[in-house]
Amino acid sequence: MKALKNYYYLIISVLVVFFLFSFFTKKKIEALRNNLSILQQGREKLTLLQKKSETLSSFDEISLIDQVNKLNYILPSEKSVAGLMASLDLVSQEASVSIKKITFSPGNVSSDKTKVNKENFDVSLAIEGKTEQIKNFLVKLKNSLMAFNVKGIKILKTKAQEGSGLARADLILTVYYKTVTQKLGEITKPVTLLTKEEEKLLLKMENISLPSVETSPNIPVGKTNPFD
Amino acid sequence: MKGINLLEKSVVETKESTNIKRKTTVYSVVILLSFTVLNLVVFFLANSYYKKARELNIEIKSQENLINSLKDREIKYHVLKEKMVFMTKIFKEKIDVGQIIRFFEDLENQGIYLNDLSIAASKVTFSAMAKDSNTLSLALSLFIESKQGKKLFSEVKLDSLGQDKKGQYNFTISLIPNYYEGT
Repeated sequence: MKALKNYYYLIISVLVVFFLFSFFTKKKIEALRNNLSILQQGREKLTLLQKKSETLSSFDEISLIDQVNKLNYILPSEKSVAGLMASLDLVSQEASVSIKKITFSPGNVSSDKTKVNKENFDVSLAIEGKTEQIKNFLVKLKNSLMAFNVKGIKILKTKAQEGSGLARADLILTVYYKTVTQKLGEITKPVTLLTKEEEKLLLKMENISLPSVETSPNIPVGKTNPFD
Repeated sequence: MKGINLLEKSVVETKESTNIKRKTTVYSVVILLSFTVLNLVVFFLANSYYKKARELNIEIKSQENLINSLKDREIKYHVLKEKMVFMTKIFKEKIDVGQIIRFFEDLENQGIYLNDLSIAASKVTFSAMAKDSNTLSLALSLFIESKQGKKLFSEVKLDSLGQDKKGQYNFTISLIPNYYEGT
Protein backbone atom coordinates (compact mmCIF):
# COMPACT_ATOMS: atom_id res chain seq x y z
CA MET A 1 0.00 0.00 0.00
CA LYS A 2 2.79 2.38 0.91
CA ALA A 3 4.57 1.51 -2.31
CA LEU A 4 1.38 2.27 -4.25
CA LYS A 5 1.29 5.76 -2.78
CA ASN A 6 4.39 6.63 -4.76
CA TYR A 7 2.52 5.89 -7.99
CA TYR A 8 -0.61 7.91 -7.22
CA TYR A 9 0.18 10.71 -9.66
CA LEU A 10 1.04 8.30 -12.43
CA ILE A 11 -2.07 6.19 -11.93
CA ILE A 12 -4.34 9.21 -11.79
CA SER A 13 -2.82 10.80 -14.88
CA VAL A 14 -3.14 7.53 -16.82
CA LEU A 15 -6.77 7.17 -15.71
CA VAL A 16 -7.56 10.77 -16.65
CA VAL A 17 -5.93 10.38 -20.06
CA PHE A 18 -7.69 7.09 -20.65
CA PHE A 19 -11.06 8.55 -19.71
CA LEU A 20 -10.66 11.70 -21.79
CA PHE A 21 -9.35 9.75 -24.75
CA SER A 22 -12.20 7.23 -24.71
CA PHE A 23 -14.99 9.77 -24.38
CA PHE A 24 -13.71 12.78 -26.29
CA THR A 25 -10.47 12.51 -28.22
CA LYS A 26 -11.33 9.22 -29.93
CA LYS A 27 -14.55 10.72 -31.33
CA LYS A 28 -12.70 13.79 -32.50
CA ILE A 29 -10.15 11.64 -34.31
CA GLU A 30 -12.90 9.59 -36.00
CA ALA A 31 -14.66 12.79 -37.06
CA LEU A 32 -11.36 14.06 -38.43
CA ARG A 33 -10.89 10.88 -40.49
CA ASN A 34 -14.45 11.20 -41.86
CA ASN A 35 -13.83 14.82 -42.76
CA LEU A 36 -10.63 13.82 -44.53
CA SER A 37 -12.45 11.28 -46.66
CA ILE A 38 -15.25 13.79 -47.38
CA LEU A 39 -12.64 16.32 -48.39
CA GLN A 40 -11.05 13.78 -50.74
CA GLN A 41 -14.45 12.98 -52.29
CA GLY A 42 -15.12 16.69 -52.62
CA ARG A 43 -11.84 17.19 -54.48
CA GLU A 44 -12.69 14.33 -56.86
CA LYS A 45 -16.15 15.80 -57.44
CA LEU A 46 -14.63 19.20 -58.13
CA THR A 47 -12.23 17.69 -60.68
CA LEU A 48 -15.15 16.03 -62.50
CA LEU A 49 -17.18 19.23 -62.47
CA GLN A 50 -14.27 21.31 -63.74
CA LYS A 51 -13.62 18.87 -66.56
CA LYS A 52 -17.32 18.85 -67.49
CA SER A 53 -17.67 22.63 -67.45
CA GLU A 54 -14.52 22.97 -69.60
CA THR A 55 -15.95 20.48 -72.11
CA LEU A 56 -19.32 22.19 -72.26
CA SER A 57 -17.72 25.62 -72.56
CA SER A 58 -15.64 24.41 -75.53
CA PHE A 59 -18.74 23.61 -77.63
CA ASP A 60 -19.74 26.25 -80.14
CA GLU A 61 -23.40 26.98 -79.43
CA ILE A 62 -24.27 28.09 -82.96
CA SER A 63 -22.76 25.14 -84.78
CA LEU A 64 -24.25 22.79 -82.19
CA ILE A 65 -27.74 24.17 -82.88
CA ASP A 66 -27.14 23.82 -86.61
CA GLN A 67 -25.92 20.25 -86.25
CA VAL A 68 -28.87 19.25 -84.07
CA ASN A 69 -31.35 20.86 -86.49
CA LYS A 70 -29.85 18.94 -89.42
CA LEU A 71 -29.78 15.74 -87.46
CA ASN A 72 -33.42 16.19 -86.43
CA TYR A 73 -34.25 16.52 -90.12
CA ILE A 74 -32.26 13.43 -91.13
CA LEU A 75 -33.28 11.34 -88.14
CA PRO A 76 -36.48 12.80 -86.71
CA SER A 77 -37.50 12.32 -83.11
CA GLU A 78 -40.91 11.09 -84.20
CA LYS A 79 -42.36 9.35 -87.24
CA SER A 80 -42.00 11.98 -89.95
CA VAL A 81 -43.67 11.44 -93.27
CA ALA A 82 -43.03 14.91 -94.69
CA GLY A 83 -39.25 14.63 -94.45
CA LEU A 84 -39.30 11.17 -95.97
CA MET A 85 -41.46 12.33 -98.91
CA ALA A 86 -39.14 15.27 -99.54
CA SER A 87 -36.06 13.02 -99.51
CA LEU A 88 -37.58 10.37 -101.79
CA ASP A 89 -38.78 13.04 -104.16
CA LEU A 90 -35.31 14.57 -104.31
CA VAL A 91 -33.56 11.22 -104.88
CA SER A 92 -36.06 10.15 -107.56
CA GLN A 93 -35.57 13.46 -109.41
CA GLU A 94 -31.80 13.12 -109.25
CA ALA A 95 -31.99 9.54 -110.57
CA SER A 96 -34.71 10.38 -113.11
CA VAL A 97 -37.09 7.67 -111.97
CA SER A 98 -40.77 8.14 -111.37
CA ILE A 99 -42.44 7.10 -108.16
CA LYS A 100 -45.58 5.18 -109.00
CA LYS A 101 -46.83 4.25 -105.57
CA ILE A 102 -45.98 4.82 -101.92
CA THR A 103 -47.58 2.86 -99.11
CA PHE A 104 -46.89 3.64 -95.48
CA SER A 105 -47.11 1.25 -92.59
CA PRO A 106 -46.53 3.64 -89.71
CA GLY A 107 -47.80 1.26 -87.05
CA ASN A 108 -50.19 1.92 -84.19
CA VAL A 109 -51.41 5.33 -83.17
CA SER A 110 -48.84 6.69 -80.82
CA SER A 111 -49.25 5.90 -77.18
CA ASP A 112 -46.75 5.43 -74.40
CA LYS A 113 -46.67 1.68 -74.88
CA THR A 114 -46.23 1.73 -78.63
CA LYS A 115 -43.57 4.46 -78.50
CA VAL A 116 -41.23 2.42 -76.36
CA ASN A 117 -38.46 0.59 -78.27
CA LYS A 118 -40.06 1.22 -81.69
CA GLU A 119 -37.70 3.26 -83.80
CA ASN A 120 -38.69 2.48 -87.37
CA PHE A 121 -41.54 1.90 -89.74
CA ASP A 122 -41.80 0.43 -93.23
CA VAL A 123 -42.59 2.17 -96.47
CA SER A 124 -43.40 0.35 -99.71
CA LEU A 125 -42.36 2.17 -102.83
CA ALA A 126 -42.86 1.40 -106.50
CA ILE A 127 -40.62 3.21 -108.99
CA GLU A 128 -40.30 2.98 -112.73
CA GLY A 129 -37.42 3.79 -114.99
CA LYS A 130 -34.64 2.28 -117.01
CA THR A 131 -32.52 -0.32 -115.24
CA GLU A 132 -29.59 2.11 -115.12
CA GLN A 133 -31.80 4.78 -113.58
CA ILE A 134 -33.18 2.35 -111.01
CA LYS A 135 -29.65 1.37 -110.15
CA ASN A 136 -28.72 5.04 -109.74
CA PHE A 137 -31.73 5.54 -107.51
CA LEU A 138 -30.62 2.68 -105.27
CA VAL A 139 -27.04 3.93 -105.14
CA LYS A 140 -28.26 7.42 -104.25
CA LEU A 141 -30.54 5.94 -101.57
CA LYS A 142 -27.63 4.05 -100.10
CA ASN A 143 -25.37 7.09 -100.20
CA SER A 144 -28.10 9.38 -98.98
CA LEU A 145 -27.66 10.44 -95.42
CA MET A 146 -31.33 10.03 -94.71
CA ALA A 147 -32.10 7.51 -92.03
CA PHE A 148 -33.59 4.73 -94.02
CA ASN A 149 -32.44 1.39 -95.29
CA VAL A 150 -33.56 -0.79 -98.18
CA LYS A 151 -35.19 -3.80 -96.56
CA GLY A 152 -36.08 -5.50 -99.81
CA ILE A 153 -36.30 -4.84 -103.52
CA LYS A 154 -37.96 -6.58 -106.41
CA ILE A 155 -37.11 -5.58 -109.95
CA LEU A 156 -39.56 -6.64 -112.64
CA LYS A 157 -39.63 -6.22 -116.36
CA THR A 158 -43.23 -6.42 -117.37
CA LYS A 159 -44.33 -7.43 -120.87
CA ALA A 160 -45.41 -3.89 -121.54
CA GLN A 161 -41.93 -2.71 -120.63
CA GLU A 162 -40.06 -5.32 -122.70
CA GLY A 163 -38.08 -3.72 -125.45
CA SER A 164 -38.56 -0.27 -123.96
CA GLY A 165 -35.70 -0.82 -121.56
CA LEU A 166 -37.99 0.19 -118.70
CA ALA A 167 -38.37 -1.76 -115.51
CA ARG A 168 -40.33 -1.46 -112.34
CA ALA A 169 -38.84 -1.82 -108.89
CA ASP A 170 -40.85 -2.49 -105.75
CA LEU A 171 -38.92 -1.47 -102.69
CA ILE A 172 -39.53 -1.81 -99.01
CA LEU A 173 -37.72 0.83 -97.04
CA THR A 174 -37.21 0.81 -93.31
CA VAL A 175 -37.45 4.41 -92.15
CA TYR A 176 -35.86 5.24 -88.83
CA TYR A 177 -36.57 7.80 -86.16
CA LYS A 178 -35.11 8.19 -82.71
CA THR A 179 -36.72 9.61 -79.61
CA VAL A 180 -34.08 10.82 -77.20
CA THR A 181 -34.92 11.37 -73.55
CA GLN A 182 -33.67 14.69 -72.30
CA LYS A 183 -32.89 13.41 -68.84
CA LEU A 184 -29.22 14.03 -68.19
CA GLY A 185 -28.63 12.18 -64.94
CA GLU A 186 -26.35 13.44 -62.16
CA ILE A 187 -24.51 16.70 -62.55
CA THR A 188 -21.15 14.93 -62.14
CA LYS A 189 -21.89 12.56 -65.03
CA PRO A 190 -19.24 13.35 -67.65
CA VAL A 191 -20.13 14.39 -71.20
CA THR A 192 -19.72 11.44 -73.61
CA LEU A 193 -17.92 12.81 -76.64
CA LEU A 194 -18.46 11.71 -80.23
CA THR A 195 -16.16 9.00 -81.51
CA LYS A 196 -13.99 9.59 -84.59
CA GLU A 197 -16.41 7.54 -86.69
CA GLU A 198 -19.36 9.61 -85.51
CA GLU A 199 -17.49 12.85 -86.12
CA LYS A 200 -16.72 11.74 -89.67
CA LEU A 201 -20.38 11.01 -90.34
CA LEU A 202 -21.40 14.30 -88.76
CA LEU A 203 -19.00 16.14 -91.06
CA LYS A 204 -20.78 14.60 -94.07
CA MET A 205 -24.11 15.78 -92.69
CA GLU A 206 -22.89 19.33 -92.39
CA ASN A 207 -22.86 19.56 -96.17
CA ILE A 208 -26.58 18.98 -96.37
CA SER A 209 -28.67 22.07 -96.89
CA LEU A 210 -32.04 21.91 -95.24
CA PRO A 211 -35.08 22.57 -97.46
CA SER A 212 -36.51 26.00 -96.86
CA VAL A 213 -39.91 26.11 -95.29
CA GLU A 214 -42.31 28.23 -97.29
CA THR A 215 -44.64 30.23 -95.14
CA SER A 216 -48.08 30.84 -96.54
CA PRO A 217 -48.76 34.50 -97.38
CA ASN A 218 -51.12 36.47 -95.23
CA ILE A 219 -54.55 35.98 -96.72
CA PRO A 220 -57.17 38.46 -95.60
CA VAL A 221 -59.92 36.64 -93.78
CA GLY A 222 -62.64 39.19 -94.48
CA LYS A 223 -65.14 40.58 -91.99
CA THR A 224 -65.31 38.87 -88.68
CA ASN A 225 -68.94 39.90 -88.37
CA PRO A 226 -70.79 39.44 -91.71
CA PHE A 227 -73.74 41.57 -90.52
CA ASP A 228 -71.52 44.58 -89.87
CA MET B 1 33.94 -1.15 4.27
CA LYS B 2 31.28 -2.72 2.23
CA GLY B 3 27.76 -3.40 3.39
CA ILE B 4 27.89 -0.95 6.25
CA ASN B 5 25.00 1.48 6.10
CA LEU B 6 25.24 4.06 8.75
CA LEU B 7 21.85 5.63 7.86
CA GLU B 8 18.66 4.43 9.53
CA LYS B 9 16.35 2.20 7.59
CA SER B 10 13.48 4.68 7.56
CA VAL B 11 15.75 7.37 6.13
CA VAL B 12 16.86 5.05 3.31
CA GLU B 13 13.24 4.16 2.54
CA THR B 14 12.19 7.82 2.42
CA LYS B 15 14.99 8.63 0.00
CA GLU B 16 13.93 5.80 -2.37
CA SER B 17 10.32 6.78 -2.10
CA THR B 18 11.14 10.37 -2.99
CA ASN B 19 13.06 9.22 -6.05
CA ILE B 20 10.15 7.12 -7.21
CA LYS B 21 7.72 9.95 -6.60
CA ARG B 22 9.91 12.30 -8.58
CA LYS B 23 10.07 9.89 -11.49
CA THR B 24 6.35 9.15 -11.50
CA THR B 25 5.58 12.85 -11.33
CA VAL B 26 7.77 13.44 -14.36
CA TYR B 27 6.09 10.58 -16.22
CA SER B 28 2.65 11.88 -15.32
CA VAL B 29 3.52 15.33 -16.56
CA VAL B 30 4.91 13.86 -19.80
CA ILE B 31 1.75 11.79 -20.32
CA LEU B 32 -0.53 14.72 -19.65
CA LEU B 33 1.51 17.04 -21.83
CA SER B 34 1.55 14.54 -24.70
CA PHE B 35 -2.15 14.09 -24.39
CA THR B 36 -2.66 17.85 -24.46
CA VAL B 37 -0.46 18.19 -27.53
CA LEU B 38 -2.42 15.41 -29.25
CA ASN B 39 -5.68 17.19 -28.54
CA LEU B 40 -4.28 20.47 -29.78
CA VAL B 41 -3.11 18.84 -33.01
CA VAL B 42 -6.52 17.26 -33.51
CA PHE B 43 -8.19 20.59 -32.84
CA PHE B 44 -6.03 22.51 -35.33
CA LEU B 45 -6.36 19.81 -38.01
CA ALA B 46 -10.13 19.77 -37.60
CA ASN B 47 -10.19 23.55 -37.98
CA SER B 48 -7.96 23.44 -41.02
CA TYR B 49 -10.05 20.74 -42.74
CA TYR B 50 -13.21 22.65 -41.88
CA LYS B 51 -11.84 25.74 -43.66
CA LYS B 52 -10.70 23.68 -46.65
CA ALA B 53 -14.07 21.93 -46.84
CA ARG B 54 -15.86 25.29 -46.79
CA GLU B 55 -13.68 26.65 -49.61
CA LEU B 56 -14.13 23.43 -51.55
CA ASN B 57 -17.91 23.63 -51.19
CA ILE B 58 -17.86 27.17 -52.51
CA GLU B 59 -15.86 26.09 -55.56
CA ILE B 60 -18.12 23.08 -56.12
CA LYS B 61 -21.19 25.30 -55.93
CA SER B 62 -19.65 27.70 -58.42
CA GLN B 63 -18.88 24.88 -60.89
CA GLU B 64 -22.39 23.45 -60.47
CA ASN B 65 -23.88 26.86 -61.22
CA LEU B 66 -21.74 27.14 -64.33
CA ILE B 67 -22.79 23.69 -65.53
CA ASN B 68 -26.45 24.47 -64.84
CA SER B 69 -26.13 27.63 -66.92
CA LEU B 70 -24.84 25.43 -69.78
CA LYS B 71 -27.63 22.87 -69.39
CA ASP B 72 -29.20 23.71 -72.76
CA ARG B 73 -25.91 23.06 -74.46
CA GLU B 74 -25.52 19.79 -72.59
CA ILE B 75 -28.99 18.62 -73.63
CA LYS B 76 -28.31 19.47 -77.28
CA TYR B 77 -25.02 17.61 -77.25
CA HIS B 78 -26.66 14.65 -75.55
CA VAL B 79 -29.32 14.53 -78.31
CA LEU B 80 -26.58 14.84 -80.92
CA LYS B 81 -24.56 12.02 -79.38
CA GLU B 82 -27.51 9.65 -78.99
CA LYS B 83 -28.65 10.20 -82.55
CA MET B 84 -25.15 9.89 -83.99
CA VAL B 85 -24.69 6.54 -82.25
CA PHE B 86 -27.94 5.40 -83.86
CA MET B 87 -27.04 6.82 -87.28
CA THR B 88 -23.63 5.13 -87.27
CA LYS B 89 -25.36 1.84 -86.54
CA ILE B 90 -27.86 2.36 -89.41
CA PHE B 91 -25.07 3.22 -91.82
CA LYS B 92 -23.19 0.06 -90.99
CA GLU B 93 -26.32 -1.98 -91.69
CA LYS B 94 -27.16 -0.34 -95.04
CA ILE B 95 -27.44 -3.00 -97.72
CA ASP B 96 -25.36 -2.26 -100.80
CA VAL B 97 -28.09 -3.08 -103.27
CA GLY B 98 -26.29 -1.23 -106.02
CA GLN B 99 -23.37 -3.65 -105.92
CA ILE B 100 -25.70 -6.63 -106.33
CA ILE B 101 -27.54 -5.00 -109.20
CA ARG B 102 -24.25 -4.21 -110.94
CA PHE B 103 -23.41 -7.91 -110.69
CA PHE B 104 -26.66 -8.86 -112.35
CA GLU B 105 -26.03 -6.33 -115.11
CA ASP B 106 -22.84 -8.23 -115.86
CA LEU B 107 -24.98 -11.36 -116.13
CA GLU B 108 -27.12 -9.69 -118.73
CA ASN B 109 -24.00 -8.82 -120.66
CA GLN B 110 -23.19 -12.57 -120.76
CA GLY B 111 -26.47 -13.29 -122.55
CA ILE B 112 -28.72 -14.00 -119.54
CA TYR B 113 -32.05 -12.24 -119.81
CA LEU B 114 -33.30 -11.24 -116.35
CA ASN B 115 -37.04 -11.49 -115.76
CA ASP B 116 -37.21 -10.38 -112.20
CA LEU B 117 -34.90 -9.87 -109.26
CA SER B 118 -35.80 -9.81 -105.62
CA ILE B 119 -33.32 -8.63 -102.97
CA ALA B 120 -34.12 -8.99 -99.31
CA ALA B 121 -31.93 -8.86 -96.21
CA SER B 122 -31.62 -12.65 -96.03
CA LYS B 123 -32.12 -13.85 -99.59
CA VAL B 124 -31.71 -12.84 -103.23
CA THR B 125 -33.91 -14.56 -105.80
CA PHE B 126 -34.02 -14.03 -109.53
CA SER B 127 -35.59 -15.65 -112.53
CA ALA B 128 -33.96 -15.44 -115.91
CA MET B 129 -33.67 -16.97 -119.31
CA ALA B 130 -30.55 -18.38 -120.98
CA LYS B 131 -30.49 -18.95 -124.73
CA ASP B 132 -28.63 -22.27 -124.44
CA SER B 133 -27.00 -24.66 -121.98
CA ASN B 134 -23.55 -23.03 -122.35
CA THR B 135 -24.96 -19.67 -121.34
CA LEU B 136 -26.74 -21.32 -118.41
CA SER B 137 -23.47 -22.96 -117.21
CA LEU B 138 -21.70 -19.67 -117.60
CA ALA B 139 -24.35 -17.99 -115.44
CA LEU B 140 -23.99 -20.58 -112.70
CA SER B 141 -20.20 -20.43 -112.78
CA LEU B 142 -20.31 -16.65 -112.34
CA PHE B 143 -21.96 -17.16 -108.98
CA ILE B 144 -19.90 -20.10 -107.86
CA GLU B 145 -16.45 -19.49 -109.29
CA SER B 146 -16.00 -15.79 -110.00
CA LYS B 147 -14.29 -13.53 -107.47
CA GLN B 148 -17.18 -11.08 -107.38
CA GLY B 149 -19.77 -13.86 -107.07
CA LYS B 150 -17.93 -15.41 -104.12
CA LYS B 151 -17.60 -12.01 -102.49
CA LEU B 152 -21.33 -11.26 -102.76
CA PHE B 153 -22.98 -14.63 -102.18
CA SER B 154 -22.34 -17.50 -99.83
CA GLU B 155 -24.89 -19.99 -101.13
CA VAL B 156 -26.35 -20.65 -104.58
CA LYS B 157 -29.42 -22.79 -105.16
CA LEU B 158 -31.09 -23.62 -108.46
CA ASP B 159 -34.77 -23.61 -107.51
CA SER B 160 -36.25 -24.44 -110.90
CA LEU B 161 -35.15 -25.16 -114.43
CA GLY B 162 -37.18 -25.66 -117.60
CA GLN B 163 -36.72 -25.56 -121.33
CA ASP B 164 -39.16 -24.03 -123.74
CA LYS B 165 -39.94 -24.97 -127.33
CA LYS B 166 -37.25 -22.63 -128.64
CA GLY B 167 -34.65 -24.49 -126.60
CA GLN B 168 -34.16 -21.58 -124.22
CA TYR B 169 -33.74 -22.30 -120.53
CA ASN B 170 -35.93 -20.59 -117.94
CA PHE B 171 -34.61 -20.88 -114.42
CA THR B 172 -34.88 -19.49 -110.92
CA ILE B 173 -31.92 -19.18 -108.59
CA SER B 174 -31.89 -18.19 -104.94
CA LEU B 175 -28.80 -16.91 -103.20
CA ILE B 176 -27.76 -16.12 -99.64
CA PRO B 177 -25.97 -12.77 -99.67
CA ASN B 178 -22.76 -12.41 -97.69
CA TYR B 179 -24.03 -9.35 -95.81
CA TYR B 180 -26.61 -11.57 -94.12
CA GLU B 181 -25.17 -13.02 -90.93
CA GLY B 182 -28.16 -15.23 -90.25
CA THR B 183 -29.97 -15.79 -86.92
